[in-house]
Amino acid sequence: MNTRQTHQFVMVLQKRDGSPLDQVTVAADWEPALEAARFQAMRRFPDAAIGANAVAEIRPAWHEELGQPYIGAVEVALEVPGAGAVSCWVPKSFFKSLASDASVPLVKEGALRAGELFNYLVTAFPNPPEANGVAQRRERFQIEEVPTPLPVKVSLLGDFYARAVAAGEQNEEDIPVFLLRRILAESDQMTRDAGAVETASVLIGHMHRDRAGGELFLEVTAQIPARNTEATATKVSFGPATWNAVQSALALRSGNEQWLGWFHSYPASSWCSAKCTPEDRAKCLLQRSFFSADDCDVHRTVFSKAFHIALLVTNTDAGLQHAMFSWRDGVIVQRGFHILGNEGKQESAIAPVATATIGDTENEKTCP
Amino acid sequence: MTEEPKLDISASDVTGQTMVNIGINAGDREMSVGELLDGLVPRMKLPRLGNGGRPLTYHARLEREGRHLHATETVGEALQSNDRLMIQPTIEAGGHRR
Repeated sequence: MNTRQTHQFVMVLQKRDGSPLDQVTVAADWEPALEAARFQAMRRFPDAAIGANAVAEIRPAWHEELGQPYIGAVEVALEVPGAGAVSCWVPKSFFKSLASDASVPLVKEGALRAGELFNYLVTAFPNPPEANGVAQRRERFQIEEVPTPLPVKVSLLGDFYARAVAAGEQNEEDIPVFLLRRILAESDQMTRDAGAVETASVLIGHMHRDRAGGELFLEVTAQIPARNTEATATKVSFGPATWNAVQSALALRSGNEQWLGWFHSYPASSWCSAKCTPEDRAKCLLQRSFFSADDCDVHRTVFSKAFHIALLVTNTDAGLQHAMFSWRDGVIVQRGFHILGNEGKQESAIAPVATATIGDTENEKTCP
Repeated sequence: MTEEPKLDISASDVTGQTMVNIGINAGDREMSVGELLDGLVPRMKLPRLGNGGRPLTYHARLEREGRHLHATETVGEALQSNDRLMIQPTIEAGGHRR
C-alpha cells in the first residue's frame, strides 16, 4: 500500500485561558490510522486484495467552527483499484499522547505546573513541493510488503448472537467479538492465582465473515498463558521467550488459530495502602480500571492490526472488573464484547464490565 | 570473478500477520544485524519509541537455526538466501509506577 500525506500537521498548545504555550510540528505514527482504513476496506470489499497498488492519502478535515487551518479530524482515504474507496476519520484524540509528550518540556521550563490541564489544537498546512536535486539516501536493502490475508471462516453471525450475551457498551463501528465464557473464567482464575503480581496471556481464535450480511467478526477460542514473562506487582514484561512459547503452543494446537489479542491483569487491591480506610480505598483511582500508557505501547507494538483486542481484568476490593479495548479509527478505545456459552442466559458469575481510562497517568500516582 | 548475488530473505512480526521480503545488496553484506534491524523496524511499520520517547528493543530470531541473532553479527555471515527472520520486541505492560 502506498501512502501520501498532503499536509504537515502542527500542534498548538494553549493554557486553559487560551494564552499560547507552544507550537510543535507533529511527528505522528500514522500506521494505526492507515491500518484502520485498510481494515475498513477489508470489511467492505471481501474479495479485494489490498496490495502495493492501493493508495492511501492522509489529509486534513477542517474544524467545523474554527475553519482552516484548524482540523477537526484527519481523513485517511484509501483507494483500492478494482474495488472502490473507503475513508477513515481519525479523531483529534489521536494526537492526545503527542500533546502530553509536548507538555513535558513546558513543565520543566515552568510554563505549566505538573498536572495542570491545557488545551491543544491541531493545524495543517500544505506540504511544500519536494525539492528537486536533493540526493536520495541510498538504501542498503529493498523491502516489499507481502500481503498476508488472515484466514477467514464463513459462518452465520446470527448463530453466534443466539448463543451469547452482550457485555459492555456495543458500538456499531466495531466488529463483533465473541469470547468463550470459559476463557473469561480462566482469566479470572489466572488473576486470582497471580495474587499481588500481574499476569498475561495471548488470545487466539478465528476471524469469521457472516454468510448472511458479509460482516467480519472474531471468535476467541483459547488463550495461551504468557508463562515466560517477568511479572511484578506493577508490570509484566514480554520478551522473545514469551513470543516463542506462544508460537510453539499455536503450532501444537494445529487449529489454524490466529493471534487476536492479549489479556493482562491488574492486582489493584495490592496496590492500595493497607493504611487507607475501606471507604478511601473504594474511591482510590488505583481501584479503577485503566489501560496504561505502557499497555498502549504493547498494543501498538504487537497487536497493531485494526481487529486486535485487549482484555483487562482488574482485581479490586469490590471484586474482579473486566474491560475490553481495541482500535477504532486509529485510536485505542474501550469496547463491548459478547460472551459465548451462556445459551442466552444472563450469567451472574461473570464479573461486570468497568468503565476505563486509556493512556492517562492519573492512575500512576503513588499510593499514600 | 563472479559477482555475489543479492541476498533475498523474509521477515515477519511475532503474530505472523505482517510479512516482508527483503533484498540485501551484495555490497552491503558487511552490514551488522543491528544495522539491519534499525532499518527494518520502521519499514515494517513497527514503532521505534514508546510512550515518553523511550526507545523500544527488538530482536531478530533466525528461524533456520532457532536462535536470536546478536546485533554485532554480520548479515553476510549469519544469513543465507531464503532465511526467515521473526522480529520480536521486548516490552512491558503494566499498571501504576511506584
